Amino acid sequence: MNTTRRGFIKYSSILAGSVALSQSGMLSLKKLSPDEAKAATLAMDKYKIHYSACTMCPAECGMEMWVRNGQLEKIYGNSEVPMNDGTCCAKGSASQQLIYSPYRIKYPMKRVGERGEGKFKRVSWDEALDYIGKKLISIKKRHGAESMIMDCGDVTDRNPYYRLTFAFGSPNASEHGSICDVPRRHGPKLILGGKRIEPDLMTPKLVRQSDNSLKKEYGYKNKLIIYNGWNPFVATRIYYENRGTVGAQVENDCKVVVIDPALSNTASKADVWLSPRAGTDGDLFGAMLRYILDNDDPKDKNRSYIDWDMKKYVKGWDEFMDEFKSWYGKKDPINGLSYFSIDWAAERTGLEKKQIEDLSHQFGIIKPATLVWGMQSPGHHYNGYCCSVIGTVLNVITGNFDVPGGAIDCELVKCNKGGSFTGKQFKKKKITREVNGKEVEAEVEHLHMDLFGHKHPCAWDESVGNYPNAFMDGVDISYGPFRGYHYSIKAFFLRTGNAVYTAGPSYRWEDAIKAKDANGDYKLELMVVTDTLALESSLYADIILPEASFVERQSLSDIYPSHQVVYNRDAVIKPMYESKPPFEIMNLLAKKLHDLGDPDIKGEDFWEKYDKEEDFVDEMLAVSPGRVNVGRPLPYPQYPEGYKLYGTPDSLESGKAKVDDKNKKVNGTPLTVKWLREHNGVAIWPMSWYRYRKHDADEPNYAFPKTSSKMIEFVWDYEEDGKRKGRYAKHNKKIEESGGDVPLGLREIGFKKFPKTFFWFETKWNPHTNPDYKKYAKDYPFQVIGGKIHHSMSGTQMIPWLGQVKAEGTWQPLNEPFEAEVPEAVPGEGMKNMTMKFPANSFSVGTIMINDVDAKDLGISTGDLVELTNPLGKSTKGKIFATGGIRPGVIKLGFGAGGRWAPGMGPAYKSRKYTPYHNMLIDPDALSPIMGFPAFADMIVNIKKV
Amino acid sequence: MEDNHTQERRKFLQTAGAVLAGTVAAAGLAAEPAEAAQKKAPRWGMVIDLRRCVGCYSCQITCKMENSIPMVGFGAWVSTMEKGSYPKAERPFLPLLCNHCEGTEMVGRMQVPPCVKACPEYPKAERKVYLTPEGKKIRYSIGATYKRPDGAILIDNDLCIGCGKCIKACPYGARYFDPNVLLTRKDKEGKYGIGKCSLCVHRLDQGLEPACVKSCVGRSRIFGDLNDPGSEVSKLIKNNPVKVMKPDKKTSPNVYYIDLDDDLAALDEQANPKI
Repeated sequence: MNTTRRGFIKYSSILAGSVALSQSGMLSLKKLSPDEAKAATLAMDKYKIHYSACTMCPAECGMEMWVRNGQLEKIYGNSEVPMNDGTCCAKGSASQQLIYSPYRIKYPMKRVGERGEGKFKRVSWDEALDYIGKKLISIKKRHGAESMIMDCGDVTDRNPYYRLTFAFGSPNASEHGSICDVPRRHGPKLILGGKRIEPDLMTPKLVRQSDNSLKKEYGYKNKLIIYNGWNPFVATRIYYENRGTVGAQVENDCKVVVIDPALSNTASKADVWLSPRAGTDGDLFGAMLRYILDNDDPKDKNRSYIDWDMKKYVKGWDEFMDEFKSWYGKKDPINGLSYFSIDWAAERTGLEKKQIEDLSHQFGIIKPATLVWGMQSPGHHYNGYCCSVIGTVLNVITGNFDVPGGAIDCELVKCNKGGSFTGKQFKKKKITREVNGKEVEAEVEHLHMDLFGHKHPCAWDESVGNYPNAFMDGVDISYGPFRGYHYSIKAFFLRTGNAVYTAGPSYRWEDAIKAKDANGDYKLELMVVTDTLALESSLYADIILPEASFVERQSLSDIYPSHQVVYNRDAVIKPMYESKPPFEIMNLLAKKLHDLGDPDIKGEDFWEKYDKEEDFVDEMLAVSPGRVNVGRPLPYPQYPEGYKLYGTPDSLESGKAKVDDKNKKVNGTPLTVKWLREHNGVAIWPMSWYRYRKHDADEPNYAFPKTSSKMIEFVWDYEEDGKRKGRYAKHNKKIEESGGDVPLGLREIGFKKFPKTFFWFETKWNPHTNPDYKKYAKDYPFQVIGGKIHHSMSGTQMIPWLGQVKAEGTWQPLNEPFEAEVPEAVPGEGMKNMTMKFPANSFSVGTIMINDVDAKDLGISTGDLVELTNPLGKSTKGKIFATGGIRPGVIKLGFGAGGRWAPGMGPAYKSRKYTPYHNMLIDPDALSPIMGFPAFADMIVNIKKV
Repeated sequence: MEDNHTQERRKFLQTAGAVLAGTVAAAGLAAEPAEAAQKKAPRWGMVIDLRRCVGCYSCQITCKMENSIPMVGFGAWVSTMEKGSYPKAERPFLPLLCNHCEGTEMVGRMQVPPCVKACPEYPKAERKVYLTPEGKKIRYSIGATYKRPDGAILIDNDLCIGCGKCIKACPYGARYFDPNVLLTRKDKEGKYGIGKCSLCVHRLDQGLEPACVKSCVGRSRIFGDLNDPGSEVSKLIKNNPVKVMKPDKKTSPNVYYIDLDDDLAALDEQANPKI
């Protein structure tokens, strides 16, 4: 592997570390003339500045919002927030075009036609809530509260809805996380109790100095970053990876390798771009692990890959490695080669042997390094679990976990929030149900449709992909005290999500939502959509409620930084039209249910307790930062190591926080909205590294990470001191207590229980790795991959400014002429809605990225309309974009970037007939076996010119 | 948030000042003597370090937001291309804006770029005063298009007749007719005013960097005083091979590029409509 950047020229890096800082401030020394000062005051001083958090994408950067005369006029990044350090991306900058969009849901609406017809009439809030309340109470009486599902498609600000759901008596609440890269997060969860391994790239970091002061540290220590199927320049979830990745390259000569079948924007900046076949990420990682195990030699500097000292911090090293190595002796049925050998991996990935060897060697030898795997791969493969397990192990055994410049599991170190406001306590309420003629009493939580259901009882992130099946067939509880109980799903409450369009193929959802019983009534008796925008799912709702946009409501950031940071999402302008913030919707619906006689909803839990938005946010902040005092340098040397920290940064810093030795807690002054507003909207606690070690000795501190042994666990169901431990232990216990009833998901892959340590199974619809699909290879020669398009999530596709950008090969100006009402910026007047004509090829739409040689062979070229058809007979149409930037035999589509049939999508609706709908192609029954997650990235198609 | 605007403003500047102090400490650079840099008017310029450009288009959109740019125009824009064949494909990016050229042609005693030279409404008899940071007054001529002593090429649509000659004269396509700005002069030739990058002088005069620089996601856009040898931009230009757009046009641009992709530059992709 040649790590010299393509076209890279060596330049001076004399300015390393200072570039990032110099942007602001330098110019502020200029003295203003009286005239200039007056003009400037007129121009700028009438603004009121609010600090808030973005939601244009899930990165939720810290924002500075300038408001004048009640209008949001300017949007910048908040310089005090290290997530974005004052920067702001195109989507964030374009927020006004969404907030002031003509396509917003303005009033509550009630369906007047059939579901899906999109016919609604305007109703009052009271009429809408009355309808919902009466339905819910009736459903609860007949089917139990559990027959209501709350799906908060958006993670952000979901808590009021969760609280209401749990208080109502249903344990079934889910959010975006359940249809977003679940298998990717699995390895870190099993091994570390975490979720996301990311490079140590966030700057500035607040670090304790040897003189005990705290300093903002800039600069990078990273030497190698491998992004596998991860495209942070476009899928911006971990926002600091943008400036961090290029910053580490320029300032620290860090090498960046991107592994992706398509040349992503991130790959375009990489030193090395490797493009394997789709769905072979785990194969590559497996080969890397085997190479490192086989070739490690502690005595040879050039082959000293493994940090053997790590064994001190790991439980189950030998069990894991023994199980992994036991596969060496097996022959892969698809190629007859030994599992995880270089030959085997080359055969399956399509990469050259030398490339795999070099990659393995480089990852083993260059330190600090980080191996990152992404949302698309393995996040969206049926067998992505295997890959995320091996990836986590690779970071750990090479000594890169939580070292400076290495791999940080951000889930483990983010600021805690939520506390009692989340309403988890309501799920502990005892209820009775009649099961097989017997009265059974147990807690509400045991009715959870997934965790105790017959399919995926370890789906700690709910299986939203399975909801249509549940609408049709109901829920079978196979585990726990209610084993044998069956209930129907009768109410579906969807909040700022678009499950019909995104959570699997729409036809499966449509069938389930529109299904009727013998009397001609909808089986799903109530569907409510609460959103700011009228997306596809709202067309099927019985009631639509307008939710305030993210600048009109208050809450907190939900981010993945390298250490604890939390900031305020302030209500910047008043809710527009008749929209209401989630907190108000929660209180109004709670009050309505109470007034209609629901015995479970009490004023003291809702409207009497939370008078204004700050009240519940303060309750959420009471548990912040909620992380242990560990690592080097110790964040707070004035407090005992390993104790959990609570309170504002200044109250902890003062040394006067109360130490509670009994509970191992340090209690400072609780953080509040008021404190945040007085501190640029943000609270930041100190960074440290080696957080799994004692700060003054190379021994485990038994306080971090978040596993049952507080060590790094390579085993997930084991006994110690007479106790059952490990992440899978309680789920296997459920299976054992049921008498060995194997969950449906595990049955699919031939497992009887959740595995104790390393495991392996093949993905679906991959003719290169799974013999079951080899027969389709000839007729369906293209693998389909998907991915986020920076500027075209639902909200951003409607924004005309973002229609003027290009993104990779999947968002290109290939529109046909159209006319649409759009918000236009008018000097001095803000956003004005105007009807505009857009000529051909002037506005970006979702496209199909295809290799240019493949296109030539098919006789098609950029702009041609084609039809993609999968072996299930489903198809979608779109225009192609031919490029050298994708592996032959692979095509890429943008998620959510085509076939948008909701008129509320504005310009994107206009292009629905010639833009590809990715989810139409996926297999609705391919729900990954452990967590029930849709296999979004496992499909093959053929291509025909239309 | 406090209700007192003055207090907010002060806090804003204090914050910025604090960041500056951090710069010196973190970089280990000695503080430059301030007087040396402030003897004459600053010459604002930009270095676009393409090693750091992540292709996000934030500059393009931030500019629209900051300056209420119409759908049909661009103050800042990004050019890109698909280059090479698999597996050697590349996708370079090129952020563009008005180069705020020094110019090589003279109008009276002023050295001006082609757009100013082409403006029939330049220079006007009226002159304005620019105050340098150390308080020195510099008089300068204004017009429908003109150059400020700090190098910013600006427009005054109250003086503009809408002839479009500046749009034609600019080799970079940095100007456009703004359909949302109606001209007021009775003797106007066209209906619409001119739009272009103003270098965010409304922000500069407040001590703030241009919006595209503030937002730049990869920290690729670096802004500062080219007359100050201690500025970030001057150091980057001194220590790296840099290029400007279309040197053959002899406009003497004040926007410099590190690691420019020549093929992409040669594409000459101009986002504003040609007239």
